Amino acid sequence: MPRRGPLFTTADAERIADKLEAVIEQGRRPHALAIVYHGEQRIAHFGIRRGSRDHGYGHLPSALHLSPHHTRRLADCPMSYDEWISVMREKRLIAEEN
Amino acid sequence: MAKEITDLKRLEDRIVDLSARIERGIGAKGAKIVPVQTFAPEPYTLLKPMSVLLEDSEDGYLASFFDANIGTSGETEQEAFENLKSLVLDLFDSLSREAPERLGPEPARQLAVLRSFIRAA
Repeated sequence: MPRRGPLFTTADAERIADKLEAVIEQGRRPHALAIVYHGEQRIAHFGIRRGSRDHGYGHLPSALHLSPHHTRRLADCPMSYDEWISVMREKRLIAEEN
Repeated sequence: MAKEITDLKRLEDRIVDLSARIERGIGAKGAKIVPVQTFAPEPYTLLKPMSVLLEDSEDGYLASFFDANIGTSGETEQEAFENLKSLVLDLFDSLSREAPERLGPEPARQLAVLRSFIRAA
């Protein structure tokens, strides 16, 4: 049984990269890396695959530490950058300065 | 009541069966675990076996390396597998270049995991 749930596309990944102000780093073909920093701290990253097909980002929720539903909200604007940062803090995925 | 008990027993049997299949690395139909044997021709040494989970998705195949929370996809199983190896090396290089104090908890963990599997030749 194929995995079900919201499909994510290259466009979704690029919109999320924009929203999270990701730095794009070119990797080996076919990936570019979208690297998300919070201040000086690297907190997440995901691959953006260049190719002819526009599906296949089932890994995106895991890379963003979100459920598929919340990843869809992040891609489609209801979830803001600040809300995502709050989720990351709650999950202790941002090291706080002492 | 007897029917409900029978239904529950069937569900319980099904859960036990699925759990056993997952433990054997079979999982749902179409999913399988494939070992990475080499990164050749890239100049990296594999230090210990790396298991990749390949699964059907709606529009191709997903490849996942769960230890380091890395995943990607491809139109075929082979493409997904090769794309994952490529992404693993991209992340290994990218994280290794980053100053350690700039790595948040998850990227630091991922790099530690990757270093236990990979060494640059």
